[in-house]
Amino acid sequence: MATATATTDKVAEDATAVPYAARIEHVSKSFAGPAGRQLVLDDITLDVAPGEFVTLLGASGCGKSTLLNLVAGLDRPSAGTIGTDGRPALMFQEHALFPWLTAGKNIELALKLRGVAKAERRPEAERLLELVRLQGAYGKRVHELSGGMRQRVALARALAQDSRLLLMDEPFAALDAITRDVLHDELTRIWRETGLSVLFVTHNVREAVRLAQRVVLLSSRPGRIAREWTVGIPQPRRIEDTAVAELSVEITEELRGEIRRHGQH
Amino acid sequence: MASTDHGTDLEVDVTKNGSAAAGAPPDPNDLAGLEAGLDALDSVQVRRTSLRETLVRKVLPPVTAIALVLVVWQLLVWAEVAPDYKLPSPSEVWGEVRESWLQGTLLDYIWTSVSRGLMGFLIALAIGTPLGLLVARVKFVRAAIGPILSGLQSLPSVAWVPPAVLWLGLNDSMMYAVILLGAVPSIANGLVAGIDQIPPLFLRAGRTLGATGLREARHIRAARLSGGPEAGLGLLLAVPDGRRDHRHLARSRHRPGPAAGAGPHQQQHVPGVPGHLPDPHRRHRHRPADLQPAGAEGAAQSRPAGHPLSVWVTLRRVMRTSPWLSSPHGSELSQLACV
Repeated sequence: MATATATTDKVAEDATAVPYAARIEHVSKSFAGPAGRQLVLDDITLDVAPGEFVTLLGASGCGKSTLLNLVAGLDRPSAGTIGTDGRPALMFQEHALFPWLTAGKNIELALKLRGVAKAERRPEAERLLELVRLQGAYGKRVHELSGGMRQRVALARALAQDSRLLLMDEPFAALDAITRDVLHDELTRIWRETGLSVLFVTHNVREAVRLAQRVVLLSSRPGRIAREWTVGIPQPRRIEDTAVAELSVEITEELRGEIRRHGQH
Repeated sequence: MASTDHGTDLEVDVTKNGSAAAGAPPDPNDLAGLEAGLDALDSVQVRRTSLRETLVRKVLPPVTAIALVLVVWQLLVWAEVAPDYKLPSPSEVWGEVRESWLQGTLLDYIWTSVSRGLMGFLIALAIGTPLGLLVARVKFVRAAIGPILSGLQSLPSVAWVPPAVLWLGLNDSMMYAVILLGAVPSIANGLVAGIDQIPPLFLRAGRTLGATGLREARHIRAARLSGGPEAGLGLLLAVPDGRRDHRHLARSRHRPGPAAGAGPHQQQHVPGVPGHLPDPHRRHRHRPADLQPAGAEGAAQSRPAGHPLSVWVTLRRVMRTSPWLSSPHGSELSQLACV
């Protein structure tokens, strides 16, 4: 995979140097809450291999978004270390596109901030839009795009960072089921085409199993790694596949067990 | 990202693109087609509005309003509710406008107003922008003068006319003083509000893209404040639009005689629409609301601001300057924070 990405100088160097896309070692995070300091993440250790697709699954309060923010470098861990292969790209539940720019210019801004020369930005932005199958959307304003199209532009903008690691924070949670299903296919396709590593946060068990090579279940309050599953079901999968359903049932049982523990005291 | 090698060819066949991808799903044609279908179903239908639609939706309402006002005006004239030196008929006023056009003085009047407005606006911008930045970014400065700025903004700038006349006399510097006292706090406050209100999501998104420090200020905060061409235009239009009234306010006082008396200057005292709509050149309006740069706020909200009806602007301003009147605009919050 590292050889396939030799197009980008700095990142590719890093990719050959480090055997992981993200390395999270004994990371804890606590926030000052109304009842004193509250431990949100407790001793998380997790590696994401280059090219690997990992989903972080958990009920609310498991700190999965907090963990993603830490990996993205938007916040610092209270303890432990996080290493990433270059600066990761991040996608949110909200598209977070800048409404004062067109779809194409949003992507070009990412390219500009990455240091891409002016003349190369437009063709590159158009190539990325084509990758997410939105070749006609360059000049469109954000409000002219549907929810699914906005998330695809956001994905293209994230890809414009040319990062080896893509962090996704429930990016499809706000979409309707049909669009989400299509975007699952789309994300799988792009992931396989690009060889990116993906760390994908969700509370949707089926989504986690549908997409990932590895599903990591976090317990809640504080967030700890409860269990991990390696998903051997061959891609492309569908959300209604029996194998996906079976594993989802197993994971859901485990997740419910985790949640029940909180009601017992 | 490395595997697509189609370069800049935009018209790449979508289905080919899909099946060419390494390890593509079994039905790539389906996925591409599916997506195209979804996009077509989902996307907001943006079509050019027809000329007729524009006329009906945008032009007809104000034209109706103007016509209505003219009718009411004419009725009042016929009813002789006021002597004609106080309430001349629309045709008399039009005659006056026409006459000054024929004499070649009308454009001059207008240009004097517009140039003053522009100058005042530019000066206010030059003072208000650094002031606003300072208040927004330096806590001590905000605590020190933030409340005063908010307070000044709530004060209609006409309130400055008497003291300004006393101190400076009836001249340009007096008018600029009034303009600046009205506009500078508004521009500064608008800027503060704009900087405060930037959604944290944009900042987070910007930071992940690498926009931190100065780059954040430039590409995210400032870019959002300028808010695209519409808001920028609004900023330019809305502010000077009202500026010129001061001149006429002053002029009508020191230029007595039938010519001045015949115009609807007296209607300056009528707030809102009836006072100015009959005059197509809107020379004699008195719109304190406009003296506050609705545009500055409009820009901050990424919304066009230069609406022709001052009632709307007035309403917005009242909402904006009264923190206790809850309104959807966020600037109140910052004002509350200042107070």
